[in-house]
Amino acid sequence: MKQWILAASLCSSMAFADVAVIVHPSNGDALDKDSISRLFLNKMKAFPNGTKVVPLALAEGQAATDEFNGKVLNKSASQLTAFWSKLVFTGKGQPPKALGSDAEVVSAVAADPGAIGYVDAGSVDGSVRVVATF
Amino acid sequence: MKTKLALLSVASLIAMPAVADIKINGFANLIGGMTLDDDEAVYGYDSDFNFEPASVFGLQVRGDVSEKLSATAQLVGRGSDDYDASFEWAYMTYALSNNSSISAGRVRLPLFKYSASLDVGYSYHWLTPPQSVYGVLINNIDGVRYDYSNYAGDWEYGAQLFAGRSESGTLEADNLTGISFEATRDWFNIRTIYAQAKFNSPNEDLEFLTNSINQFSPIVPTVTEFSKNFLIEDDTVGFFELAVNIDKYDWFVGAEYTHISFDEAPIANDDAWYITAGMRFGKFTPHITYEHKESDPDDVATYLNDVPSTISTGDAVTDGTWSSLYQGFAAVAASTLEDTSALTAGLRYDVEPGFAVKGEVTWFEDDANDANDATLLRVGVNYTF
Repeated sequence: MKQWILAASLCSSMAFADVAVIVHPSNGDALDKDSISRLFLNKMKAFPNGTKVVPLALAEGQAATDEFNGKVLNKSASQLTAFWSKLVFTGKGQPPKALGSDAEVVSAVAADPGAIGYVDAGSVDGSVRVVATF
Repeated sequence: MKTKLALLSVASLIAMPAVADIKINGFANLIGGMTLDDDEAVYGYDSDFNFEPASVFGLQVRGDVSEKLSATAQLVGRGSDDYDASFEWAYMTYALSNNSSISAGRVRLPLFKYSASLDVGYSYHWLTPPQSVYGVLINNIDGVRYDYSNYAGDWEYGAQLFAGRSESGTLEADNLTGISFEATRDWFNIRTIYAQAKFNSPNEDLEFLTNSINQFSPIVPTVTEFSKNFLIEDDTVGFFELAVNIDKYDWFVGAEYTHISFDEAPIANDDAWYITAGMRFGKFTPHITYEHKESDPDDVATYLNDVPSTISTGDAVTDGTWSSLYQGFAAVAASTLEDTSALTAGLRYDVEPGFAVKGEVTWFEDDANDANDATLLRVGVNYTF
């Protein structure tokens, strides 16, 4: 029975996994969904505090990736690829570097005051600040 | 040889040791098509299945020289050009601020909504953008382009200014300048541009015709002015475009209109437009497009009225020569008149991010000449990395 509850809660937590948008702890900016979307889509190149932004994505196939792309960027994986192909082939920008796991994103964000990333809300630790969850 | 040289310079760009950050991207559009009837031909296709007219392969190398300065080169091979690779873009960009940049070199001319990614089939739902609107001779310029983008509230907006020159075959466009503006709010996008240039296009046949008819200047004094109009010499060409798009994710609808005007030349002013709509069902995007292009016959007629179509000098040979020369000019003017439309139904299937498969059928109609009507079937794959 206990295992049952555990399994069920695991399933529900997977189904309803929140995605946390994280920045360096020294970054005190408040960011709404539009700003976060602009920071990730090369439309806003610096944080409101003036620091140049280094967005970090998660690799295709990670749980938080589709969640973030859909909820925050309002784009499917294909649409996002199409969006970036337009910017890449006009020399206007490159897609964010994609890291392989939540842990890599957390440690990269913790190490860079200009970084912003997204991970599964359960992967966040004290080394980074959560600006929003979706 | 051209290819070898081009590859060599790409290689040297890659090997450039001072450049810290090199990015290589590429795209491929392999598009094959055929018309359904033996005697039909349209957009470079006939009844034999053919990959050449619209297939394009490209490789882009971008090097960030510093945080503000980057160099971009795009090597493109087109099936219509026997896949002879050439540098379609090669420019340096300097970021003036977070909102503006200036690019110099060979850059894309932002004439249309999809100009920036014209060759990247993956970035739009069609196999190729509607020919009625996008079928222009010049898409790149050698010059400078200034890009500005910003946002205010829920709106994102941008502007581009450019100046330069271009060549395409015998056509030379000088003093090419223009300004474009674009605004986006959530699912709504609007963009517009005005550009103009001086066109020069030497044509031996036309010059021969001109010299011949000019012999009549003692009889018809206005003939030199009349024939001069027919030569494309420093003629001003204006270009206007307006595009509106609504993209609600589950469905989208868009329209684009262009007007091309030729001053001082009996080349008909063109109006072209399309309207397109589609729906997204997961990986499937069925879509439909209607396009139309029409030129203004009055625009040509005024030039032909500058001289009489027949003269009567009393000498039958002289009168006959004049008539046939005049008819020659009338035929040249008439050849610039277009009245075509096309309906395209297609399906895009997204296999995975960066890879799409498409199929389209196009019913093409030429109201100026029914013999050009055709039904075109095309399939293709788009790949980008």
